[in-house]
Amino acid sequence: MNAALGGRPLLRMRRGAALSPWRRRGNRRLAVLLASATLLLVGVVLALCVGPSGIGIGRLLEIALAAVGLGDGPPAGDVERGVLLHVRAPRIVLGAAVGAALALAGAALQALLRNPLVEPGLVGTTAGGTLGAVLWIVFGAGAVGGVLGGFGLAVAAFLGALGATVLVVAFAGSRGRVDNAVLILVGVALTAIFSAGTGFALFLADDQALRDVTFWSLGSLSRATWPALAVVLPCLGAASAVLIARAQVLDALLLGEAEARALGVRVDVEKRVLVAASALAVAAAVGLTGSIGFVGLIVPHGARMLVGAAHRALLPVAALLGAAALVLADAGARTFAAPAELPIGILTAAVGGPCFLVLLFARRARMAG
Amino acid sequence: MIRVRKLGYTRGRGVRARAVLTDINLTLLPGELVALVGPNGAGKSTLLALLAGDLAPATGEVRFDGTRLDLVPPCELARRRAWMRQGAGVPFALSCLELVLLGRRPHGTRAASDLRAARRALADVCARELEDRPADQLSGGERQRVDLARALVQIAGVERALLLLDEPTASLDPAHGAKALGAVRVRVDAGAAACVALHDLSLAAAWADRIVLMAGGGIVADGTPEEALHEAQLGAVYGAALRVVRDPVSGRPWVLPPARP
Repeated sequence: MNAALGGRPLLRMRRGAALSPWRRRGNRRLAVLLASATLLLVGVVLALCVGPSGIGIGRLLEIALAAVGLGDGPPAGDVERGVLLHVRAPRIVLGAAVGAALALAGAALQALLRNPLVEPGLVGTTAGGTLGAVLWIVFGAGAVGGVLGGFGLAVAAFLGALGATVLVVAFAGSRGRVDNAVLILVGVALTAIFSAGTGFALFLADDQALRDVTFWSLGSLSRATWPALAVVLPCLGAASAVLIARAQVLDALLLGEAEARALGVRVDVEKRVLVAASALAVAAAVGLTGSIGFVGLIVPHGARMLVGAAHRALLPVAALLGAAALVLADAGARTFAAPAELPIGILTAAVGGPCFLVLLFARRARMAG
Repeated sequence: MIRVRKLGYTRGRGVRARAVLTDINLTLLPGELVALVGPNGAGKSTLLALLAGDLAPATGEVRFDGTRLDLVPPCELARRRAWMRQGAGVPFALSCLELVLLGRRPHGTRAASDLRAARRALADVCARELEDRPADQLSGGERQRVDLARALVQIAGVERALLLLDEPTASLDPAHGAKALGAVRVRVDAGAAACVALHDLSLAAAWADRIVLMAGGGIVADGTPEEALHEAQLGAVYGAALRVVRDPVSGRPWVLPPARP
């Protein structure tokens, strides 16, 4: 339909110079897509070779060559294998999946609600997840911690996040339709209520619990293990796949709900699907990583500035950039304060904010000039 | 193509309910351009939304080719009916060509012919040069032309299509306004039915086959421009001494604003 990702049908039928801007646009989008993929790849390699155990880029290359029977370096030892496969790799996979899912959810909700200030947690998801996590840390961990093991926190946050979204949509719906303005306002109201609950729980908490909550709330990928990923990845993958498949619907929704409906979009069904997929992404992410803010708000805007608002081009780029952002942020988090680990939320905000400002000013300069 | 019987619409519920439309009877035939005119708040936009199937009638019914409108599958309706609202614009930077191409969505194809149709529609409303412009940076008149192009492309190549346009010329200069209605006229002459809300009564008289004059949620007059636009009726509906003269070239009514005291 549009020239997204090379726009092949457009190129085939081009005739005369009138089409050239489109060709430029298509090529530009392809270039941005490839650049985003490259950035993610660089991030993955970088994240694989930073850390306290001293497996650098040279050693990584040796191991990789040895693994495919090339080179003369010694193959990976047990420790190295353990570090790469069971410490670093799961974090990278989790970071990439969470980053992509959050960026997709942000892009989708911004389009659905036609509002650039929307972030995926807006519909109560993050506040609900936080309440679930805090309740668990303050009251649950001591009481039944042994039963659920390390999963307890993740499960509590996940349930809190999903439950909150269900509540918001249920309150906002009326006669089968969910009004956008009401959805946002109900989200704001329930967020306040959940925050009050969180605050009260914190009031009752002891010092250790307070510290745990603080670290959880700043986010971390350190809880990434393969068994945990086996649960979380399908959620993130399903949510991401659903959102990417909605590219055309999201384009139509940009026109407005009535317009989309007139174009044959089943708006009321699609709206629930989009909110559910976004909530699933945020809930799965928040459970394992804590609340990593910012990615879902800023990355979609950055991607939009690079490739425009058409979702066939926007969504893949946003997903790749979101993934790259979290993988790189985690690599940084493990490096800057080594051997300690900075909470990743600090980095996504500290690096993402300036990046966003640069994009914003560049765009403004281009439009003025 | 469209038959409306005893249509009524109410906004709000309970004691605060307010009748927006009452007892509307209307027929739209293929090959007919019907102008919907009347003062602000007469119910023109609501009537168009009901004809589009976006609002459900409180009383009465709308039939589309004999089928009750709410029973026509949305995707089938979307292939034959285009509706242009008084738009709110797009929040993010779709290009105008992308925006117009969305009109082809109901037809499911993604072919080169869609792109040609979109460009032709943009050219029809003199907006060809806008195709690469971000749609969130258009002036009011530019946006209106692009929206109209989207409506036109939605029914491009469709037989017996229905065009519902809510003030498509409100922000257009006279030349673009005439060009826009000319583009609608071409579709109508090819067999579409069009219902167009307009505030410019002279423009309506110049382009429409029939004029439906609305006031206070009801239809006051429904007939040829000569029948619907005469001074006594306009005076009663608008509460102002509008004057009707003849266009010396076409002989159609030409409505002038009240004379200065």
